[in-house]
Amino acid sequence: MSENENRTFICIQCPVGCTVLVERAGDAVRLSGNQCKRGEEYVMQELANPTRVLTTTIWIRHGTHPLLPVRSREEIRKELMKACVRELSRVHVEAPVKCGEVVHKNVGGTGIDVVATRSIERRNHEKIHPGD
Amino acid sequence: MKTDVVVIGGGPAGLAAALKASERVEVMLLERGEELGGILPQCIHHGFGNFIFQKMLTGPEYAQHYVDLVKQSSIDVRTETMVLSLDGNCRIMATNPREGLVEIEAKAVVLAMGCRERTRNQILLPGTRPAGIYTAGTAQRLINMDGLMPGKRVVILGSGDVGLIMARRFTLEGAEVEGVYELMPFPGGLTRNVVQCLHDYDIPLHLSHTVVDIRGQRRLEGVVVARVDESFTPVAGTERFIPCDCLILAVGLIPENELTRGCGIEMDGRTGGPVVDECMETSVSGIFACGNVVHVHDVVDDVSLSAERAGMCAARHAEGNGEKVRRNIPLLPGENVRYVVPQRLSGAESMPITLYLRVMDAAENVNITVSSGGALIVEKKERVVRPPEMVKVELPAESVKNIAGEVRVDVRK
Ligand SMILES: Cc1cc2nc3c(=O)[nH]c(=O)nc-3n(C[C@H](O)[C@H](O)[C@H](O)COP(=O)(O)OP(=O)(O)OC[C@H]3O[C@@H](n4cnc5c(N)ncnc54)[C@H](O)[C@@H]3O)c2cc1C
Ligand code: SF4
Repeated sequence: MSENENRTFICIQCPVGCTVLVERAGDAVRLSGNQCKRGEEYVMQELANPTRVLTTTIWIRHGTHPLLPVRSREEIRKELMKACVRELSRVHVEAPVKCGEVVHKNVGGTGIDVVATRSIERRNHEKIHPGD
Repeated sequence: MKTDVVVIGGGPAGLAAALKASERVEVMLLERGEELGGILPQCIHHGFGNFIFQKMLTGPEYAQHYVDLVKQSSIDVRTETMVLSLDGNCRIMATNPREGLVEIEAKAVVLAMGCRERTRNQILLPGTRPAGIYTAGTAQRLINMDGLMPGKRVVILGSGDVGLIMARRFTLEGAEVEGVYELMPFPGGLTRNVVQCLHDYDIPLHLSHTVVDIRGQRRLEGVVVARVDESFTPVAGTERFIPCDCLILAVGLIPENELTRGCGIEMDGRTGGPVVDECMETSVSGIFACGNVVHVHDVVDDVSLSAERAGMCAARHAEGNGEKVRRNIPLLPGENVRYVVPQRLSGAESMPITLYLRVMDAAENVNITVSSGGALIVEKKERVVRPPEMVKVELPAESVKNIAGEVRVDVRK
């Protein structure tokens, strides 16, 4: 973004989707249109280095469900998303798992851990799942 | 069986309503699925809870928070329990594999059945009927909960939130999404979903387009898309064949109100849900409703908040404090307003009221006014309003007391 240029961003930090206008005059950056501070942080980040929270599923053995939903603990660089999902599709964990538990470390070499986003109990019935 | 409050549906609406009601009275929560959480366990993406938790959670995390609280509470939870009917005296017939048919007598009922997806039949798609055509929510469940991929080359019809989320999900799971086709000249989902699901992955969005033919005998072989004019009629000569093995329909949600209609509750044709007052009480005394069964919400936080009110008022009704003089003031959608919820003000309890409304047409720099007989009650300015995004207006508690007649909500430039 060059000097004295105005640009609009759509804040995607929450479903409201505020349109944030960025006005730059020399070194000063002025934001308007965001309804909360998170919008400001988002736009500054988007200007510098766009990142997203990674969410996907991994296989879980002997659980009440075959798949465990997971997320990256912090946002990761946008362009690493596909490679990280591929890496996680090869990860298996063993039930039970508690919501918030770390299930995979250092995804895509980012230094960021991946945590479970729900609890899954160990199952006590005989049904075989594709996750086993 | 007897209890104070029965909540029907264990999604975010039912969970929040049951928790709130259980602070005062005995509560039974009935869910037809195997587990609690409603649609949330399959919504593995993040974007839930910004207003209630001041941080972004995934659907399963949001559900887990409430499910854990319900487990610690005194609520009698019955899963795999399908409610078959309900009458105007809060008598419920339900069935489950353990007890068979059960009759439950309650003092108040909260309806929280959510909504279901529109299917191919409801949009009259022409063509053959091969395998490979799914609603977006079904595809979401197959991918996120069962670990099954419905197809490799995907066309998505409809740009509602579920469709947008699934475009990204298919892409991340290695499928190719050829494009998203939307009948309307504007996207159906939230702007943030257009940005982070389509723009982030360079998935094209074709507005004013629809599917005009489906080809393939056993398995889907492709679809024909075409541009539509202002009256949504396909324009001759714009047809294009797209080879694909999967067509995803994200063509809208309908509140699930068979039970509601069955018990003669007054419905609102605009929302597809029951008419409610600010206590979330329907036209039948003692029967309350909340969440997507009332109108389709885009943010789960609003579902939980309105459900807490329904739960609280249902508990008060069950305690015998709910008998009130209903003033039944109609709340009507005015200029550029498609619907308003609540549709009625009873003025029974002195509490602040949140009005939820959707506009008909997108507009900028609008003035939203709530007025009665020409007298202004509240006014709010919004920079942008769009049909897919719900607008909220707060009515202070004391403002309702002085209202005499019909209230109108208008959105004007
Ligand atoms: C794909 C998708 C993405 C979304 N993304 C977001 C987002 O990013 N952020 C956000 O805030 N919101 C999002 N939402 C919206 C949010 O999930 C919904 O608003 C919310 O789930 C509605 O809650 P509910 O309890 O009304 O309905 P549901 O979650 O649908 O729950 C209804 C429950 O009632 C049960 N039931 C129905 N009929 C009966 C019966 N007769 N007997 C017993 N039980 C019954 C059903 O089995 C179900 O469990 C999304 C929704 C979808 C579908
Ligand atoms: S600025 Fe705040 S309210 Fe607006 S979209 Fe961003 S996070 Fe949501």
